[in-house]
Amino acid sequence: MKPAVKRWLRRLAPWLAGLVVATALGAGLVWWKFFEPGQQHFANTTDRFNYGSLNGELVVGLPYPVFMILPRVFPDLIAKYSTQGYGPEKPAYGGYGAFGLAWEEGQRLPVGLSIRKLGYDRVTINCALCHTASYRLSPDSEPHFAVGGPAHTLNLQGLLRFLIAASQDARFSFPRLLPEISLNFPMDVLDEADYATVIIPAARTALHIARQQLGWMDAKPAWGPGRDDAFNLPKYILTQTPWDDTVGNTKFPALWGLGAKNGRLYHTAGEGKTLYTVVATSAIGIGSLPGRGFGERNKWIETFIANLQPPPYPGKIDKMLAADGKTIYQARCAECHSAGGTRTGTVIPLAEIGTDPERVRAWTQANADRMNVVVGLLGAGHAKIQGAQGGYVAKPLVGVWLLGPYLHNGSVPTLWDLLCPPDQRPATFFTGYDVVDFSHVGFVSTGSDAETHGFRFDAALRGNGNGGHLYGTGLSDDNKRALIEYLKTL
Amino acid sequence: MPTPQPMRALNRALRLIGALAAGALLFVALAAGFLYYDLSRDRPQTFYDDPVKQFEYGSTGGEILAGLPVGIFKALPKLCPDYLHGDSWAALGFIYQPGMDRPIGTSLRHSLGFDRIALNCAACHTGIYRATPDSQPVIVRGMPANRLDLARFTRFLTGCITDERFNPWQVEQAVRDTGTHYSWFQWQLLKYGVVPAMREAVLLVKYRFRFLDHEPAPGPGRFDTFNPEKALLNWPFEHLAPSETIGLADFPSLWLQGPRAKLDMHLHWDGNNDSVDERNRSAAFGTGAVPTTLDRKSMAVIAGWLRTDHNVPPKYPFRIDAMKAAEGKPLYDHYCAACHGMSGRDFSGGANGKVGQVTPIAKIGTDPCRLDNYTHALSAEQGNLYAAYPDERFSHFRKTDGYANLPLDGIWLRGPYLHNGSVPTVRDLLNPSDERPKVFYRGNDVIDQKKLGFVSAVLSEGGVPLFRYQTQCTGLDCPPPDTVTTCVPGPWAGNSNRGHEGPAYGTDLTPEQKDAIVEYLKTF
Repeated sequence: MKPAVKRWLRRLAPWLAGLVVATALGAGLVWWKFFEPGQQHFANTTDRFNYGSLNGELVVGLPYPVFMILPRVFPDLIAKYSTQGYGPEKPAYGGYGAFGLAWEEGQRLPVGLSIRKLGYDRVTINCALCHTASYRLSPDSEPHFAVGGPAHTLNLQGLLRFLIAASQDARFSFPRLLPEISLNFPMDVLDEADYATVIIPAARTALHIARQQLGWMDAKPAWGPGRDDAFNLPKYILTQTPWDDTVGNTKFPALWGLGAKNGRLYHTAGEGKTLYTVVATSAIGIGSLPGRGFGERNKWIETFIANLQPPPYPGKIDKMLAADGKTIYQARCAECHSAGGTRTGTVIPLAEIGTDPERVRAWTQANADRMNVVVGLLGAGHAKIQGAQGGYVAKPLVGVWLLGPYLHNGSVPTLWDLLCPPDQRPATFFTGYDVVDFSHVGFVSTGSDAETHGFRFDAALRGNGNGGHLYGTGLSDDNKRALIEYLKTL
Repeated sequence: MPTPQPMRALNRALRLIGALAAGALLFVALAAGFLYYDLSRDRPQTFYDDPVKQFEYGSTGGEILAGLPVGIFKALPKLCPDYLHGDSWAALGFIYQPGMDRPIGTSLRHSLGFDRIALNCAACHTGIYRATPDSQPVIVRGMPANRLDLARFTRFLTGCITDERFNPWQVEQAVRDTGTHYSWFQWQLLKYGVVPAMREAVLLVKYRFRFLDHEPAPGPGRFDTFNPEKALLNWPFEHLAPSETIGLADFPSLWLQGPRAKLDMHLHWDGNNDSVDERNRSAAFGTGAVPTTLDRKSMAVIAGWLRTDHNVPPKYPFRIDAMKAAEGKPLYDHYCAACHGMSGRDFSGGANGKVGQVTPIAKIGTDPCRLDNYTHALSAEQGNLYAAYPDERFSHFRKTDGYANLPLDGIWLRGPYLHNGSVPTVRDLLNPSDERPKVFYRGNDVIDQKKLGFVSAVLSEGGVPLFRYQTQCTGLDCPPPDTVTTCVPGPWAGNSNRGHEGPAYGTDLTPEQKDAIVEYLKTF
């Protein structure tokens, strides 16, 4: 080596060493501040299901301190988006509870929201958000929560629109958010710098992206409480398929009795062949990344929900009448709706069932193929789903009294209405009100309380059709009453 | 080779500029250091060797967010006497003791460059009584602040501070007139930093506390308990269900917290929390102390004293007719003890004891507004108060369906009665509601020795008008009569004196029997 080069090297060496050390320190700081993972601890499996992370923090996690104080900074937006589409007198209050989330007293956040540290505490959603039913027994009483039930009060679209609107608002800035955060979380200078330069701008950018990715929502009928566009979400977002004009609004299903469905088809239109596939693709859909722990966690969820049972019907049941109803049920319903029925878990073709067809049209085999490629690339190639199977799956009836409004699109408010011919089913009613309707079975959907607290459902809108499923509509009123009495016991 | 002349001059000039720049830098650094030192000093005034005084004058940490510089605190009553109807804080019911230049219930802390004053627990939980209008007032710690009008305090602050008079120069003059001395730097900070900052802060408070405009005036001895918490969470009040908007409640007593904690009693009027510590932290929000500013050491001393055996109500200082009291005891034991405890110290309720439990609204039948004001939604959201502090996070709040049965320790100092202070005396409470006074006057501190409670039928005391309390709406624009179990807003909503009546509550006993119970309750 030439002496000149040697001399240069000798002179550079300390600088190089310094650079390496500085880089290492910087990387360590970045890891500590933004990526150091934390552990969650739960007292029992239900709490884990309700508040456990699906490891989506990196992709879809919002910083907890920011998430927590947003309702306090944007009360006007909470009021606006938690009442849009509801009756004109709908009262609002602050906080995320306004969007109909099931919030247990004494918990940091509602059921379905997880707080886990990845550098800093981040909020993500899990299965329980859409699969916890909230109900009350009278207008003056307090809510009960049924694990695994359909979240018929959850206004998910309102919640998303609130978060997006907040991110578009000038108040979503460091100088406005920091003082609010500082009232609740101890912040040192380094924390403040993180929030100013990375955490708040990153959260805002993430919500800006969400706005673009969810832009198609505005051209379609509102989800309303208890529903989402279950398959257009992954179609447009996960697989980046160009937006089309389909409407796939569907009720959040219950998770009860899924364990008994082995060998049958899952999802509304038969897109899933195994329970594991349903769990895995749903998890990916809400940001859970395949990787270490992915399969194990999904197996745990599968086991947990396989054992879930609905709470028993809380009202009185006329045993004699129910016994009469059982006979009718065995003759007219069991084939499709009993756990052991020959057609239970199979797809009933549209031409036969006659219910609203939009949901079937929203998910083709081409959509499924594309999804399978993407999911395979993400590392979960074993979780393959298929296109809609030309009709709707006949589901075993478990916890029927908590499944209203009925049909896959929630277009029929009560069991009584479902047993009426379509032209006698209500063309509009109010949904998302949580008081149990003990006479018609379902939730109270008419009257001043429902109109005040409920979302106005219009069966004339695309995807909201309340036709079809004519089974039992020809029964006498007495027989209908008997059948409903029996359905209360399921 | 010698340096040429021009170069030498340039060198000299450069060196001079360098020295000047270094000097300037040093000055800026020193100034920044001073500012940092001066503004970041956080020193509360403490009385740790005297827990009673710590309760009276110690800090919750509220000054850091809500403290007024001492000079301004002293100047405000002089600056806006018209809002105060007086020229001292005493006009709002604050109590002064000899030897302290600030009232009981205020604390002092050096923070952000000033000695600053804020309220503490004792503001709402220290009261006074007198035997006759001519006797000396007696101060009682832990007693409901029977004369403090917190709503007028709020209106005074928001009125005065958003007033034209609250400008840098008039504030400076008013502060100078109080004899307060500040450094040049403090004066500049006060005039051009504190004055605009206070106006900003008060605009926020004025808007957040707008619920006061939609409910009857609380008057002395009362405030709204949970609407301020909704204000803290910035709930959209305009959109709340009407039944949830009115939260008037009397200040409670703080005596004997030890036994209350030991028996896991349900605290607050509606029994929504059975943790004394959470109750204390929740109440501290009312003094401006938030999770990041709460003075935990001081709170521990105060809470510790509240739990000691010394925190008891004073004995009834007037004559008790022992014969009559003895007649009252069996009646009390029969009608009252199960819900209210065997005595003023023994909080057990016997075999079917329900002390500290909640009686459903349909049964107790008292005004439902305060109950409806507290909702499941609020109790759930309280779960993220103190979220960053795992050991302190609120987890005990629960929505209840009625009002809690409270022990009656020191009952003679706790009038007017019921959660909304709608019944002036114990004797009136033993009558059916249509025989209870429809209108009476609150804020008097003279004990009504006959009926037990405070004198409630006189319109003014010492020339100062008392607060006229109306229990029901009587005009033409009254809402339809409200149901027993749901609050209907309107004039005087939340003020109803009904409920706690019927055979089980002793309201159909003979007048002699009722008098006997009153006599016996004097021993509590």
